[in-house]
Amino acid sequence: MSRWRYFGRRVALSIPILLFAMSMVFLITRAGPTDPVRNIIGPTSGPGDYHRIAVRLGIERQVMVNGEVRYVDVPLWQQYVDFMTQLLSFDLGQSWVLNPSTSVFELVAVRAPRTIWLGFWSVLIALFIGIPLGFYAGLNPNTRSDYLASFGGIVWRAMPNFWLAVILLQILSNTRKLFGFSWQDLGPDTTVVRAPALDFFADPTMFITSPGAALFGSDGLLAAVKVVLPAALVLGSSSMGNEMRIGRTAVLETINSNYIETARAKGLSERAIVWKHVFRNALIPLVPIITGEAFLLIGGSIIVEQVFAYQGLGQLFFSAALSGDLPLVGALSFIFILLTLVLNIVQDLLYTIIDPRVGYEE
Amino acid sequence: MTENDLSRRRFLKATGGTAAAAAIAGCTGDGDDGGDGDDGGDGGDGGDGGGGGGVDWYPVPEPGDGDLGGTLQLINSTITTFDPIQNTDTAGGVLIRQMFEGLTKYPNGEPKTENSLASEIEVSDDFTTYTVTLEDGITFHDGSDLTASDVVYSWERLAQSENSNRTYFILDSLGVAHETSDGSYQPGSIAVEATSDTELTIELSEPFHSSMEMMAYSSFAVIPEGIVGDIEGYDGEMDQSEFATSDPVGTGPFQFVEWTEGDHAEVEAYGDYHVEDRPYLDGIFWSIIEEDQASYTYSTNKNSDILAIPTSKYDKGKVSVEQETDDGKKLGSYGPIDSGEASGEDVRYSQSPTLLTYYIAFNAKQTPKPVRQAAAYVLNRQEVNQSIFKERFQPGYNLTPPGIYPGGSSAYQQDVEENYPYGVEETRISDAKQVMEDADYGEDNTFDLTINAYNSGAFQQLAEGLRDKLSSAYVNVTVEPTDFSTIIEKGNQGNLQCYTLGWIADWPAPDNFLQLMAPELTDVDELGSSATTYTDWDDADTQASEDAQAAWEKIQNNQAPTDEAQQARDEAAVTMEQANWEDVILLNVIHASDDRFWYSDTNVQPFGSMGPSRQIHDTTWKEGGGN
Repeated sequence: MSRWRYFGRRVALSIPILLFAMSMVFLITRAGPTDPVRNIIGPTSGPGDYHRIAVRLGIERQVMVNGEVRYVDVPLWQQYVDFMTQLLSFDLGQSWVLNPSTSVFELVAVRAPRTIWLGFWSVLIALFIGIPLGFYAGLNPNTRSDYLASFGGIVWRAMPNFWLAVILLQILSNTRKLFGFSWQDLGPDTTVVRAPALDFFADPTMFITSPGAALFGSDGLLAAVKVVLPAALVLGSSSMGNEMRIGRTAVLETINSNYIETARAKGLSERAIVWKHVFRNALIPLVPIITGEAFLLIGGSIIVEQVFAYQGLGQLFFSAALSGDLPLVGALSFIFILLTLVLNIVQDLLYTIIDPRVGYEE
Repeated sequence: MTENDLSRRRFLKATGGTAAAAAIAGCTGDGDDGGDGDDGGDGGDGGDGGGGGGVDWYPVPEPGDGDLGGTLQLINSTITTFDPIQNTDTAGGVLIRQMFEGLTKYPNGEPKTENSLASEIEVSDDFTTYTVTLEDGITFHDGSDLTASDVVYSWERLAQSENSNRTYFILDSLGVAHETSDGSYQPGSIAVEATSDTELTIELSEPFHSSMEMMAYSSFAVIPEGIVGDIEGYDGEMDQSEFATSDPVGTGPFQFVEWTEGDHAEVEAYGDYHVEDRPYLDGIFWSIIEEDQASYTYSTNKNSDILAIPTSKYDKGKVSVEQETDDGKKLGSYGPIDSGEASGEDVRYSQSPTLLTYYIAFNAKQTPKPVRQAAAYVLNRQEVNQSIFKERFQPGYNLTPPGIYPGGSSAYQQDVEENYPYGVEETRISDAKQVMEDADYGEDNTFDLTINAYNSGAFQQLAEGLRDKLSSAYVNVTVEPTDFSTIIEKGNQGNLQCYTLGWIADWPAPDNFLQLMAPELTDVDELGSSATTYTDWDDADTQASEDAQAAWEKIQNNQAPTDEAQQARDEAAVTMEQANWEDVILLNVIHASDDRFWYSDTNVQPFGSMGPSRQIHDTTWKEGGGN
């Protein structure tokens, strides 16, 4: 099977997965107990408005029975068909409850940069601390520093996100009492919670027109990094531990394999062995871990965003789900599911590039 | 009758259950009570200096010249829309109050209304026609002049627009005369008419005593005529979505600057505001933060002027009340704060009772009177308040909260102390035993009572506390955590012995509460799920039930906005409360309060019982202004 045929098959296979996942989302939100109309009108409204709004949302229909107006539920299968056709034609619609006057696209456009910024830094922290530490530990097995790094990795891995987030928040908020300086005033002025202003994404020319403000201002790049770091550290912590552990094992496994022995026997320098032969092969088991993190960041960011009042996609998804905002939940799940499927395919392709032995033969 | 065509009375019945749900949401202390971000605190300097028996910042002093300007920093939860007819939540309501005005307003959230855009409102002799004269020289934020036709347009939108989520406010609650076709509102038919540029008439279908209060709701805010084309006869200058999210235009003291969804919202002082020299502030900035811990961190780090202190962080030992006002507000200080940049500081504190009551309801047919009375004897509200609500709330003996009780907070206290039959601030287990023994209950003849407690921590704890105490009075209680929809369903089937819920005011008057125990409205057989409470008091066949029914009819027959009718309603209200004490149909437990904590360099009026979200910040100022 050629690489492209394999790819085509993967894409084709992901279509039923997408349909199934979206059906589950529909069922869970619509057949569950949350009532979007109740969430719109609040708890103290009259039945007249209730039905009017339900009709507007397409949940109920007005019918005339013997000259009297009655309201009947639109059958769930019909709502389901509407929901699926809209999504599959990429018409994400308008939010029902949270932002009734805003299209889902706009909402996502406002929120997505924040989540991407957070995700970017969490992956970066995990990659640039976790993997080097793991490789270091693997290259110096059973030494004091290996034990320290391994133990640290396990502890990081074990600390739950929400707990770590709250503790970190407490520490940062009380730096004056604890360390004698204020985190808020350190470097550019920022607050401990809330998402940074990411204006420089929307208008990158400001790095040229007013580089001072763009870099060091309270809405600038440095401030944005400072604000995102604590949240990113928390979000990246568990994957950091994972990568460390797996990196260590992978290096150990590679370094004891026969071809390394051979390389040594050939008289290659230790440096060349490590950089050229060990690293590349040790990366193979890390690929699914790193791509796997991407899914984790989408799901895990809900908690971290909530605690740090970092209003990103995760937080939006959470509130949309609570209020039964079907179009918003649907659209966000749709985006998340698509992302996951695409990343899965990318991961498979990456395998074949890093490790040519991985093939498509039956 | 179709459901769109509900008369006011019918509407009351129908909404009974739902408002109760609101009450519950608030009581869990999870901060979603509208998320008005205003439950801050106060502190600072008030502390121990009050030798004169009061705080030195109340009444709030006028600002000096150097104190004008500056931006008030607040916290808010997620805003959905700025369109007054579309908004239903507190978060949006807070901003709408600053940017829009109606004919009347609740000054600082007090239940007694004042004129706002109206300079004069006259009522006809039959109390159904209101003639409103508008203030002169009011302009909208877009520069256009306010005229009577703007009011007509805005109210027509409220009644007609598909974006309106509050049509029942104008058509049912206020009861403006209108026509219907096919069960829906007939566009253009509300009896609101501009008779000149500055005068309009409003015709109600029947007299209503709380019409001024209804008009003060933000849904009735006035916007420029024709600005949005979502009703017949108007093309609109902009899309409704643009008006609702990026270009709201009103007459309020502040005008819109910007809103980034889920992040922040900002308004600035409107230079041409019709009250001279107001507002004192340059603007207000709201950070949008949903989570308790985060808003606590944010505000204790001095990023907001009013603090958010969630119940989990609240320590009642830090409150020192130095002054109590006649209407039940407590003023003082809170501190020291133990976290963030404000560590060690005291902040100012005010607490006001709000119009929200939690109750335990008994079905008269299914729970014998001695059992109900035994429950009343063993319930110690003070203890409930301390153990469940950290004393942030107030014991509730009547259904009507003190803020709108006839004669006010002091009359409320007096009535309770003089007349409450089951013991104030005490648990009377021996009396409970006695009343059960008199009815031939005993060790061998116990009564089985199921309490369907609303599914939240506070209600569970309440019911379990009652269970433990009633066990020594020959009542075996089973507590069943129950969802709101299940309570409605079971109530409808007549299967509820006892359940717990709450009620929040639709308008600030006792009859809005008392409908819950008007015997004719509690008749489940007749009304099904739209009974105001599932208590069947009409079937109790007691003197108290008859008294309550007669008093309720008296209220219905005295709906006019006159002092005389008011007095008749007040008397009837007290009669109903005391009849309920006798029969224990609703065992009232607690009245909610709202508190605010704020830094001492900010001067803000304590809010009234309509809550902080209804306060307009035109007189709020910061020491040193913007500097």
